[in-house]
Amino acid sequence: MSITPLLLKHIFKKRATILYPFKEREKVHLPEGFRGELKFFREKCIGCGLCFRACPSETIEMSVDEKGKRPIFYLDRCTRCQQCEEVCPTKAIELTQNFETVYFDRKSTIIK
Amino acid sequence: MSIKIPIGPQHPALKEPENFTFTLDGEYVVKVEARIGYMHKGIEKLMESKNYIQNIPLVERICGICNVAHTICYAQNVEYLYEKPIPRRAEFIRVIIEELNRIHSHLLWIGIAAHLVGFDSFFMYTWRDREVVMDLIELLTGNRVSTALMTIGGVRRDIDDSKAYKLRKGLDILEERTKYYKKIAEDEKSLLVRLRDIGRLTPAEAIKHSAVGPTIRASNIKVDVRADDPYAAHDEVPFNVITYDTCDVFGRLMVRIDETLESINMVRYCLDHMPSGPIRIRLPNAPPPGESVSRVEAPRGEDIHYVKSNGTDKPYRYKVRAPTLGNLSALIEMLTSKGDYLVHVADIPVVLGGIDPCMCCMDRSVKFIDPVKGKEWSLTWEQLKLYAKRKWEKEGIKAKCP
Amino acid sequence: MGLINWARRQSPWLLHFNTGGCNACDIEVVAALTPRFDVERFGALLKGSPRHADIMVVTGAITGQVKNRLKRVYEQMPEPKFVVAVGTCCISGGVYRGAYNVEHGLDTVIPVDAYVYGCPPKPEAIVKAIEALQNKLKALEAK
Repeated sequence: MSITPLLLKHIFKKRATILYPFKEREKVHLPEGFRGELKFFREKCIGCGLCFRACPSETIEMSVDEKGKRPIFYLDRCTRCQQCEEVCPTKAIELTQNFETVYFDRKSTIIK
Repeated sequence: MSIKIPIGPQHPALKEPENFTFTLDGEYVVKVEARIGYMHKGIEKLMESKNYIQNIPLVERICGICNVAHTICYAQNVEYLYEKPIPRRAEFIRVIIEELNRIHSHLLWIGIAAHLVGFDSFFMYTWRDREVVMDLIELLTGNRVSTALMTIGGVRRDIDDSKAYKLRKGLDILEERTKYYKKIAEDEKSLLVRLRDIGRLTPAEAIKHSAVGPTIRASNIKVDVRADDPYAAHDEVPFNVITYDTCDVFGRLMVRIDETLESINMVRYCLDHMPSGPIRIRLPNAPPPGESVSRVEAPRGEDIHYVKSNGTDKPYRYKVRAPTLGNLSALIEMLTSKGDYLVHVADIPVVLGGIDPCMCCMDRSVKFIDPVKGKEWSLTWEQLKLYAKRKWEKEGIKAKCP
Repeated sequence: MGLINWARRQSPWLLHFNTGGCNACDIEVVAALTPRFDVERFGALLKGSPRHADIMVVTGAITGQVKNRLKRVYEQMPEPKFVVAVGTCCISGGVYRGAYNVEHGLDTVIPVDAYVYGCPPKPEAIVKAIEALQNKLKALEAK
């Protein structure tokens, strides 16, 4: 038995392609707990520096502004490992479900 | 008259940059020279400047396809230094993710082997069914390929009942499709003609060149770390070690298809017998000083890590030996013609792909090359220490160690 | 002239070069060619030689030994040509920043047109990058 019966059966089945990005956007598989782009809430941050000690790739740098110590995020170095969200005591960092991160320059992805 | 052909860093048959130079005599390959080092990044030196928690994503990116094996090896290594056992439920979850990773890696290899032979329909069907496994891994961990699930002291996410239900449904679909592919692989003439008696490696040669993984299991030798030296929950989960005695690329294909079916049964056993309890314990930042070694069965073979700590929160020295390094000299043996065993030029891509090369895990720097003067040389450990001492003394810094 | 530009825009042929990363972005680029995501509906084909290609898709962190070969392959591609950098390690060095053999980004070596973030990015993001590049070229030509 060879692969020919399988090929003939597939003439009558429906297609396996998902027509992203034109139609069928809702069929993209995005479960709860997906690790997408990072989002930062400045008003909840207390400046403890635990996220700086947990990040593996120099994404976070600590600096001082008028409200106290705060982190600066360089998103073009982020590996989305979720270790900063795990150690933050006030839940000021959140990884959203945004996966369509295509940009034409690097300067627009620095969160201050 | 002999001709030399380079198959270089950018080539449609290779997915990774590496360089091989083949010396030909007519249509047959007579000699092979390999040049590696295009993927050497300096990971082991970088690990000495980050603490143990920052090193977990770095160890995961030693290899992208077998990343779960490297992370389990690292976490086990550091937990041996603390000498505290982790919860039993965490060990079962580790085995589930490791076997799902093995299924995805073997289905990937079957597709790529069919593509290298020219059988593109098989490549498209296998990768369409591999999407079932990728969706399951994304449901459990949050990303398709880099699962950031392990940590020192356990795992980070749990499996509840709705996820277990979807896992079982996905495994039923996979089992039915894999059994159909096994029937095709045994009967389809176009595959058999291209894969039978290609890349021969006898059992004596396999032991002499220290091959690992499915490459040596296709030469009828029973070697598997999960059975010889059990880690995590492998002392309780039952499975068979698969061997074939054909000693060629066809045997390696059948070993991988059968291992996929074994992994599906292992995941089902773990889901049925999962104990309840916590999934991680909290450990202090700095482990006590000492040394430790741990081994794990990655999809490509046996993987060994070594760590030495001196009481601070950064490792003093870390060493990795990846499975493809053991298969490299066996590969050179398989590609040279001798006696009545002849290797054609058209068989080179299939033999190269048959050992499932993962050069990114393997590249550790070996030789110094000066392209301007055309010289190459290598240094021993004593010569390297003397060179470093002389260089720093010229800048006025005295060496502290002898 | 408008007909030639339309023909070039609607059939971008790809060349894939792996410059020494961890191989995860690599398998997501090959997965974008399989039936579920199917980048071939945009007219894209994967070719083996740089002389046949319009867009070069680069993955992986740039190591010291690969830098000169990458420049040589880029110069062998005929005009008009574009470069897409896939994955965080290609854009800025990623997790390997600070290692002794890794460059801090692809735009220190050759000019780049589009960046796809992620570690590794989903194949849908790679499909969206090809479409975004086509829209950008259409907008440039309309000016």
